[in-house]
Amino acid sequence: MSPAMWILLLALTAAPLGTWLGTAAINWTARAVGRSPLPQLACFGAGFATMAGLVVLFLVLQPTGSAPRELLAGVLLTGAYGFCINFLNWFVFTVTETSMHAHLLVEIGHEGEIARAELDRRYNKATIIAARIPRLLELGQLRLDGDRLYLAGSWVLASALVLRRLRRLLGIPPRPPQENAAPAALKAARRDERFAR
Amino acid sequence: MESALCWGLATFGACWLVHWGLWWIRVPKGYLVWLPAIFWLLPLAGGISFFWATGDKLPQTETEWFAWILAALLHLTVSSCYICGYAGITEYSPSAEVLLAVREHMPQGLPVNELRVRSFTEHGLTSPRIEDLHTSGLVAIHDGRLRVTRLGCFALALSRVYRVLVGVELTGRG
Repeated sequence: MSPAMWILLLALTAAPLGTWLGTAAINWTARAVGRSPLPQLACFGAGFATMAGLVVLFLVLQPTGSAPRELLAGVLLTGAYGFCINFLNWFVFTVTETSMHAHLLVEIGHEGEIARAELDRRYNKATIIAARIPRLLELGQLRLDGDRLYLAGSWVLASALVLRRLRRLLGIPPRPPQENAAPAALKAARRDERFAR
Repeated sequence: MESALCWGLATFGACWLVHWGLWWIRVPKGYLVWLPAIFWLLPLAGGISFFWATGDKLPQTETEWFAWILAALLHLTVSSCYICGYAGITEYSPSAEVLLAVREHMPQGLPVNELRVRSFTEHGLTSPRIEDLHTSGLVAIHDGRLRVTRLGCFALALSRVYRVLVGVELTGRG
């Protein structure tokens, strides 16, 4: 393979590590200048920088020639690859930041041993919802004006609507069980009884 | 590049159709086994069988090899995103429900103290996840009390190391 092909392949395989290092560098720089890091934005900043870097590198190297179709396909391929790396980097961070599984594990691990009732008191629907609002404000998806919340951005909502369509396509219920849905409440109560035993 | 893009996306599309077909027959439990099998093992086995059956169809030139490697990389990253994102399909997001609740009150906005998310039952968010942690061996339950197992301690330590290195607080905000 030509040197241009090797360089592009190396850049593509090094991109995940580069994105992760970029995220860490942004957070550590924010801390060094006395600001609290905005980790979700750091993930996206580093991710989109990597994506742009890969596209520019491809255009500079032009490993398979300069025919317009080849260039367009190359830009689409490196762009899609960079976008996926961006998503995976953000996803790994999100698992440790917003995942309810991870948060429950931390709450239990913090105490060594904890009663189910105490765990429910510390981490419940109200605390879960309350933790989301500052994050949505930080990400620009909500706007707080006085004491009112307004929709500000659209990508989280758009992603949620795409996921809802995918659920329909795959035969999975599109919305979660509602508060007044008796069968769901009954099922949850049965589960709790089992834990209390 | 054109053939790499087409082959990468076509492989992902074909695997997705297999996944869709299987899910319509029955949504299987343990998607972390099923999805990697469909998206990674199936094309790998298919590719190996194809080359084994038609040995003379192996890529002949460096450009062809380059295209095959790029197509494989593209399929691998797109399918990894899909497998990771699949949790978002099966597990409902509280953030999305907050946004949907606010959207119902647009354009006048929604007072913060009137925000009610009616989806999710009180225990619908935590109980299934505690069950997941229990069945995956991260948490042990005894006499209604929960404690983290050795495997759970390892997962916690891994998460802490990652968060220290990436420069954020030790624990997420949930």
